[in-house]
Amino acid sequence: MSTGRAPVLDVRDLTIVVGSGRGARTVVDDVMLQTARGETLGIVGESGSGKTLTMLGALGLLPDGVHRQRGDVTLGGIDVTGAKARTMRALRGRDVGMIFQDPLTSLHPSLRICSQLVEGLRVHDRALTRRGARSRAAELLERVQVPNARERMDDYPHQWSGGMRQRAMIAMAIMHEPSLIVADEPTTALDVTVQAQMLELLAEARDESGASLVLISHDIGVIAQIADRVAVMYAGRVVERGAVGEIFARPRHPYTAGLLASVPTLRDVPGELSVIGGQPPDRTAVTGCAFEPRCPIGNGELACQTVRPVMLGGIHEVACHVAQVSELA
Amino acid sequence: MSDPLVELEQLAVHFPVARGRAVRAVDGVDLVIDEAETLGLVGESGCGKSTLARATTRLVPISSGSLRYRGQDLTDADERRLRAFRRHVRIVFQDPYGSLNPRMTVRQIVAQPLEIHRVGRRSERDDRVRELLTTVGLDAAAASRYPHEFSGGQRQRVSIARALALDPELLVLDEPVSALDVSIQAQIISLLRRLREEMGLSYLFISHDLAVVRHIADRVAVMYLGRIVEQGARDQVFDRPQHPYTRALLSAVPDPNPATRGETRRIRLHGEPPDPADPPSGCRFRTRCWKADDLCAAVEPELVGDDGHVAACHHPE
Repeated sequence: MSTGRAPVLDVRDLTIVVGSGRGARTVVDDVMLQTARGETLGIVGESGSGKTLTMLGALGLLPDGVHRQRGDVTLGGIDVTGAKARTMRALRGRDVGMIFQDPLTSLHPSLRICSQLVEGLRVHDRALTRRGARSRAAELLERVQVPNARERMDDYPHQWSGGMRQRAMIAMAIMHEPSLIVADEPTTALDVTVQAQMLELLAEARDESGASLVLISHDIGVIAQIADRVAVMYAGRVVERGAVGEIFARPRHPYTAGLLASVPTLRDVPGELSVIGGQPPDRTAVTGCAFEPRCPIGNGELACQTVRPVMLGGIHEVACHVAQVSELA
Repeated sequence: MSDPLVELEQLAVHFPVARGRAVRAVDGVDLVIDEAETLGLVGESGCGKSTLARATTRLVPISSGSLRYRGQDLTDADERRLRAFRRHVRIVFQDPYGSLNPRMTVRQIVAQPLEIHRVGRRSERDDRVRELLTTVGLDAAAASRYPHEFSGGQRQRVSIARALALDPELLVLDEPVSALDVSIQAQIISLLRRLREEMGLSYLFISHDLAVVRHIADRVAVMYLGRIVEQGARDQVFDRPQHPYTRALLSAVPDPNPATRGETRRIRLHGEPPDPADPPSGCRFRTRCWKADDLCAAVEPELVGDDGHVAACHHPE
């Protein structure tokens, strides 16, 4: 797998179901994702769109009651769908760094920051001495620009600010030089001025290690700033996919277009916010397009109600009956 | 000219912490909200904006300074004297999950202010609840359901219906759309704009999101570490920011449009806001400011400017 072109993460036809029997509902439906080294893939969608479950499913981290119904996932060329829990753990620990929205849920509240880093370092490198790990932990914290890292590394998480805790999370995520960094809403809980620092830090971590970065966010501005490619999810499906500049400049799916138009920015005319009516469903559509009931173009169209749209197009793919029609016209 | 609706003068709220120290959450704020006006208040977490919301509604004690409502000083008024104020000034919170009692039906939730203020008979109250639910874009049948049956956006509509029950004059909206998805956020903003026009309401609209505030506010105040650092009409503040902190905030807002992205130069602030129990001497922003000099450390800048556009900075733009 040294071809360089092989994707770091390759997800095919991933389908995830919550519950079982008659109460079962599909929350991720036939999702395909690929990311290459050094590249950032943004997954954008609203709550319940399945963006987080897609990544948890790909990494074998689904919570109880939620399971992968089908689909293939390879990580660095290794098939992980059939892997044992133990193998998965080792693989994730070495090859995947994870960053979540709320660093407090990932940092142990009664362990010093330093101990948590030292433990993480030694789990996957048994030869490392405690002292060696401690000095490596300090280097990591300096790399993510924690001020006075060496003096402050013995603090407990509550003594650190939100931005500093998120830096500690990034340090933990990159400590084994992973080939894949997954960041799920990494800046959502942070203030704008700190958010900007954090995105720069993530981009640096990606560039230094050559890792692939998957950034999950509901925030289109954040995705626009850091991603190379983007996948837009709605009700468990990827509805549009391509280069970020292309998709945000010329969205073809009515949902993407509506979402972009409803984001307030500093440039649009104050007060003129376009509104998508209704609200996102909590599961995918059994037949047809899940966005049909809210769609300004396809609402009421027979094809949209009954035929499931498939992804079409070359470098800018879209799953929509009406977008394809307008493209032909 | 008639009195403004609400007037804060040198308002301060200090919370005592250990060893005689105090967190100066709000530390000398002057603000005026006129009738049928929306004042947007922006700032980052910990700047004191939520405490200011609670002080403006007299939900936390005011340590010093004054709060006047229609010219009446209510800084230390008891609940009996606050009765009219409590009817006319209502607050809506960020979290539509935490602020609605899960054991009450929507009817009970929306009717509660009417009951507390003994407005109308039961049947009249039921009619009023139906009317309010329709006003905020909910089905009247929602009245018999419980909060958990609704999505975040619908719950925020219920909170707004409750706040409107007593025909208020001012709504204090504390991050009312921050917990909502983008498409729902736009729905609630347009609902608030419509209600304001129909009912002649005033808003104190508090948010960390500058782009959202730009879409709803007539005037904008920027808060940092317990103080207002800049204030003015919306276009004055957004188009011609004077305070370095306002400029940094504006430049940090991510631009989703690939065509215009990169036009504004990002101002990188280092560090994070200081401890509000131990603010820096002089200008509170100086520890993160690229323009700071000896004067900034020695002398606290006053809010100065003209044409209603003021900034507290020794080196304004």
